[in-house]
Amino acid sequence: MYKLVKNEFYKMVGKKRLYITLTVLFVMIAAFAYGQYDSLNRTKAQLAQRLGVTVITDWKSVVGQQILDNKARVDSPYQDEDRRVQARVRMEQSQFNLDNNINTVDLTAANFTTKIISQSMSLFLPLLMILLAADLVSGEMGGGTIKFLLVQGIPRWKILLSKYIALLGLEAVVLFFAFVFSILISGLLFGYGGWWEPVATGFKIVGGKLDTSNVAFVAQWEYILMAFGLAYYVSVVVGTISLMISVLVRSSIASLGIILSLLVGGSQLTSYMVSWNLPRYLFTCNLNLMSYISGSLQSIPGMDMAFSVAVLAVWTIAAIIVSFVYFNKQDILV
Amino acid sequence: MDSPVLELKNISKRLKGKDILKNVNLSVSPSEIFGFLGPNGAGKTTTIRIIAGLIKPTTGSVTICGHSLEREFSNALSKVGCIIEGPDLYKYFTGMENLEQFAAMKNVDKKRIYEVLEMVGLQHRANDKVGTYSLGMRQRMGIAQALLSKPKLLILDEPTNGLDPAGIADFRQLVRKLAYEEGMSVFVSSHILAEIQMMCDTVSIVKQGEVIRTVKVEEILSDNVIEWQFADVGKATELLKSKWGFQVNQTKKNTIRASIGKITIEEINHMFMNEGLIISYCTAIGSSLEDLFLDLTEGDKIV
Repeated sequence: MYKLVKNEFYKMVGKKRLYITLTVLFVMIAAFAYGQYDSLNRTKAQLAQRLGVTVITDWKSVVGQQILDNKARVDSPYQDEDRRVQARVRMEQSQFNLDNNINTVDLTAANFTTKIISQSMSLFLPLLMILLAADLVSGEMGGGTIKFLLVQGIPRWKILLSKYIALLGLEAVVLFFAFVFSILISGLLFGYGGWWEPVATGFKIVGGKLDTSNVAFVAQWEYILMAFGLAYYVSVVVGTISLMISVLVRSSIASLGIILSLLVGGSQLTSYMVSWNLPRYLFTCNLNLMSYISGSLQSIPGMDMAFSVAVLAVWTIAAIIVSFVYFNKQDILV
Repeated sequence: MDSPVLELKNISKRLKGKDILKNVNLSVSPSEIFGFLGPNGAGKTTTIRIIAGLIKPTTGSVTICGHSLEREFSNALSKVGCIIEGPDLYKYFTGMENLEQFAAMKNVDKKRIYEVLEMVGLQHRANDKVGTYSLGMRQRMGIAQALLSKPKLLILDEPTNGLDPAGIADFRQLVRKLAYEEGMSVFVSSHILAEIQMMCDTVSIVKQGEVIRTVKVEEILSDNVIEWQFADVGKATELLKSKWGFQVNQTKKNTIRASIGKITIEEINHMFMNEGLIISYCTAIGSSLEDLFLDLTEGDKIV
């Protein structure tokens, strides 16, 4: 089994798939880091202009201004109710952070890393994992190499399992590099600190109001660990489903197309979830697990961390079963 | 007789409502080169896929070296090396890396990789990407892959596709050596008659999913067919029929053919001369495998 998994690793490296994935990752992180850096500077410059000072050094004044901005939105008669709730929750959250001396304005390598992993969890990260997984089996079908692979006297389930294990390993490798790239790049711009800064988690929104009764404070590094744990879970889910599609479809282009459209199309259904129940059982609408922890606005009643994790688990297990059953009894006609 | 290396019993395969194979029975002895001959679409590759475990037969059983393919998959296939319909190797790997992949799966060491590379004459190109290989070279690499684990049974599906004449001759020699010196059984499918005739001990002819005849190639070859040209073919035909009872075919205006069995050509020609017939031309037609094949598969349509 170890040798089989090693073979699969070699293939992934030989196909240059891993390099491509990592290159995409590097470029995106660099772009995101610069974007954050630039927008923070602009915000500060604008605020400085408004306050009539030359430089903003105190993050508290930035938060103070954000609170004022949100308050203006809440009070504005032209806002619809949804937006008003959103603005009020943000305002309360900012106030809470201000009261508890939690700096969410200034960027560090540590909080940038959490930020990027949270924001990429529902689309960018799954896309990377699809890049790795989508042609695992269909690629061998299309190239005809599956014949050689399956006539070596090794049971088919072992072949598929070795591919799956290699995939799970590579997803971890990609996440590890996401971490390394993020730290290295953002550290250049924001400094390498921030690991012990506190982060507030466990916000709840009850009846359009921020409920802070369950808020717990964790150190940034613990928060990063949590974020990467969830990111890995999401990666495994997406990877497994991609593997299933790649078993079911013979051409790698078709399998890549199918899984991409599922992901992108499915995530667009998210916007209907308030009134329509079905999308919440799709895996694509449950990928944004970080939003439950960071306490950004969740407007869908009945959906929480446990629900999403369970939905994803069901999808994953079903995909594993379908993949192995189908792969085991399929006639290879290529 | 030794117990067979490969045995197919009552193999049938139905695919999408079509009978691809109907009740195929085959048996390959140790160190035998077994040819599997049939027109395109006769079911050769399907049979080979079934033997290699890529397709499950609808009915029937495959036994390799006494191991049932169905119940002892790994044991059965561990004795087999094969190429199936085209040497589709990993193009992004070098020849060496490809072999290393399969070597890892079959627990074969590095030394054996060099051995098989030398056997197929690719030791100098082993470190180039397979993507840069010609079809013939990939074919050789495919054979190298099949030989890695020193199999008891070598299955080759149209193995000389893409090989140049020198390559085909080398390949024939290699197959003979493997069979007669190393005791490997070889199962070769082909639609090229000459190839099967020159290489194989036994040949099965398939047509529309059925094995219609299995014969020893030796027997067909001893089936001595002679061709004569006469000015007066009528009289010659009469004589051949009346004296020896041969079946005579007139193939061209002045040409007749007959299968003369054990009687020598000298004896017959002597008789013609005694009868005052002038032989314009006389030659031994090497084999009648082609005749047999065309006879048996006549009117065959690819289904």
